[in-house]
Amino acid sequence: MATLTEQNERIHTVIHNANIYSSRMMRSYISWLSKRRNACILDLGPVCDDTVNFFLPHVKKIFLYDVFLRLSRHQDTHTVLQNLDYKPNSFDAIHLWDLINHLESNNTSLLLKVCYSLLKPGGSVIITAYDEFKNRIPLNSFAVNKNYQVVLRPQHHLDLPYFHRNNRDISLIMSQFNLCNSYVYKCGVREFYFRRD
Amino acid sequence: MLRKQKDEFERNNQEYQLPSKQESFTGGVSDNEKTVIGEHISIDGTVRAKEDLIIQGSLKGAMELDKHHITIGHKGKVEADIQAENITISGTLNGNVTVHGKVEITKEANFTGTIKAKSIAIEDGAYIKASIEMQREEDKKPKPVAKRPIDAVVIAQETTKAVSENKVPVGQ
Repeated sequence: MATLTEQNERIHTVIHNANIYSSRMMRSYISWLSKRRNACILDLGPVCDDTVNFFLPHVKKIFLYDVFLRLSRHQDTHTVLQNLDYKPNSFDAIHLWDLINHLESNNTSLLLKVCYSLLKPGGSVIITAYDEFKNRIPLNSFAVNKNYQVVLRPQHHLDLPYFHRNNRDISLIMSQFNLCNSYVYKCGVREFYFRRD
Repeated sequence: MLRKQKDEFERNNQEYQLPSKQESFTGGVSDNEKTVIGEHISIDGTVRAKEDLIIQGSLKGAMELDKHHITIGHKGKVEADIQAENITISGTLNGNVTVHGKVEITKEANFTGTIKAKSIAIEDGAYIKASIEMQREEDKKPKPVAKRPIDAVVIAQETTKAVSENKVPVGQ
């Protein structure tokens, strides 16, 4: 009979494995990104060095602006988004991860308006979301490694509200972009790959 | 009595030696010589050094330590363009960083600027607004020296002069 410690270790292993998935979207996205010459991408956080090091060989520059951390430090959402003061049409892609699940509807609209102007025509937007009752606590960063595996890395220092959005909500929010692909994984993560006209 | 005086001397001597060790916040700097800019020191200008540097004070300008490690301690406030071998950022840095090796940004850091490096490590929770570019091998290769256009001009002038003086038959 297994001891309590052994049982706990097993539970921990199961939870740990539930926080890893092999991303089909990343394969498709990297394939597209590698064809863009001197690509510049913007990552809105949570900033994760594994992800930065994963993308660096495929792009010219990665711009990092951690919206999660700024909002978590009680900065005003409008101010945080206004500080995305890059030139219009600057980026080939923007990584939103699960940011739209932590913003109220009006702020989500503002964010996407800013993203649309910052993206080059034909640029991509990466979004992730969780199924309703899985993985939303604690807030995670998305650490991508060389095998396109994504590890959900808990960010205990971040504290933001959570607004669950189903597939229809996300389609409506992203109505000015075209949905290229979406994926659902057993661990409860949904991935959406949008592109600007 | 003599023993007591000796103990006191050793204690004073130890107290005097402590600050120069600076082992608690070396940020990966080991046996190399290093200079510490203390928290009550403020520098305005260009710093060039041939040893590792730890900054706990404030600095505005530029830093050139091509083959050495810069550590910006958690009390350090730097507004500068930086060239170094490696850098560890734990304080506030506003500027452009170019390093041949690694950039380490800790969770205490507040960094705004650009980074060009071979590899980067960022601790979760670091406060960043930055652009990051990888230092690729081809960036290090010396660019082939272009032929000086001035040579071509001189040859053209000499040929023209020779033609005008009928030294070189036209069309030859």
